[in-house]
Amino acid sequence: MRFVGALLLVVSTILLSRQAGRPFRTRVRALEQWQGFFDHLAPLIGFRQMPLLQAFETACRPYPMVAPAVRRLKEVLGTGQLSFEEGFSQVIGEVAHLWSEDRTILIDLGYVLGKSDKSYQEHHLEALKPEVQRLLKRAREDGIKHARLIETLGAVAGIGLAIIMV
Amino acid sequence: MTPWQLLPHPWKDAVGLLSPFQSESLEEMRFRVGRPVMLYGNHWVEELTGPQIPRTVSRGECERILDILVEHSLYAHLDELRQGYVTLPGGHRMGIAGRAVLAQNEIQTITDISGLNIRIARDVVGAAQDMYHRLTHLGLAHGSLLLAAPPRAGKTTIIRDYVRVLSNDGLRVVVVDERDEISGQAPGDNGYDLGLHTDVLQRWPKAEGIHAAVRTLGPDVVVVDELGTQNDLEAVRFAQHAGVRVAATIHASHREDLLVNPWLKPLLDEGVFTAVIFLSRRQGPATVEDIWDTGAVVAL
Repeated sequence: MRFVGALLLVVSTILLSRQAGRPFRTRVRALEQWQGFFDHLAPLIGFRQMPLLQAFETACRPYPMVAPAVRRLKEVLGTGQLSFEEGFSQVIGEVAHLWSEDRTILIDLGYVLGKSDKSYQEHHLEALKPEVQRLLKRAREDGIKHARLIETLGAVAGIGLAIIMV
Repeated sequence: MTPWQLLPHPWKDAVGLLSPFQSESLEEMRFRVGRPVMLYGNHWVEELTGPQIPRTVSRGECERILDILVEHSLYAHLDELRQGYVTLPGGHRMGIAGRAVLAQNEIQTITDISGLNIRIARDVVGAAQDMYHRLTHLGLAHGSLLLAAPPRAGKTTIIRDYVRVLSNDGLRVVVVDERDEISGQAPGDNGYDLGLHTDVLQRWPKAEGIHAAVRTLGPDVVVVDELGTQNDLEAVRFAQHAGVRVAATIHASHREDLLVNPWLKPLLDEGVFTAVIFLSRRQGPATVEDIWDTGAVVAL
């Protein structure tokens, strides 16, 4: 009975610690998807000159973590009350997987999207790339450092408690 | 869809509160920074009032309206903006007043927006009937036509209906629609009914569009709105020499206005246009004032 209890304890601490490390990994996935989304967006604006919302809807199709934000943006702007930067800023503020510094950079992009010649739009999207890559690099490092540390500590604590129990 | 329905709140709501007469006859809505919003109908002018409507319009408000009406996508409208207007879904036109940004003597964009003039495009079935009957009676209906009128006299409304009449008569018509105003087409919107045999070259510059239409689409008639440059008029001559009729509009009130145009006069002298129809607003938009038979031989 004790062995079963100890085993359950180890399993639950591992699961809990993985849960605690999840935001680090989710942030990486979210940033990767936003980066891919902006890569898809550039030719839709620059070459096809699609209206911005239509370009957003087309570009987000392969990115399930971006699509809900685009749907929300369409909803918010559909009211006809907000300018693009207001709507975009509101929606990015609501995206759960991103961290504060990620949001700041995306919101800054919202101030210039749609407002200039296509070549400037492409330039803005190009300038965003190194910023997102920098965030992504840091997110991956944080993921390795913190998420693994939390998971390892959780597992060690679970095993330690199990040894004491047994 | 009217252009007023595209406006953000509270302007859209205020227009919704107008009397049925005003709603039906409303032609223009003008936003000017530091001034009240004015409504212009056929022979009436009134200030827009209503709940939440500010006494005067701010620059920020003008920019917000522009942002919303161009679907937050200025880059997709810059070619138009450089000419001082934006075409809205449904073929409605928004004129823009502001500061031109120049580079190498060319307008790059407009900033510091100080005024917006939103003008409704109307699709009036039968608008061209009177003109068509008179042309038929005069034996001029089978030649190239030039519709001349000052701004807001209904040139586009009448030529849109004329396209429909010709097309439903079995003629192959190509509309070179540089500003989407004749067809009213927009993404996801097929625009106005232009008849069974009409093709639309959307957003093509007029001269290039006329050449492409003649070379590739085998039209009986090519239709263009607002001829302006020497290139446009040369393209009309090209179409005529290729045996294709042209129906076009131009800004002018009288014969004298046309004859002082150094590029148009030779075309009139050569008989490129069989008839010139002068329009006015005297009895409402698209009133046919005069038909000038230029004396050109009509090929039947």
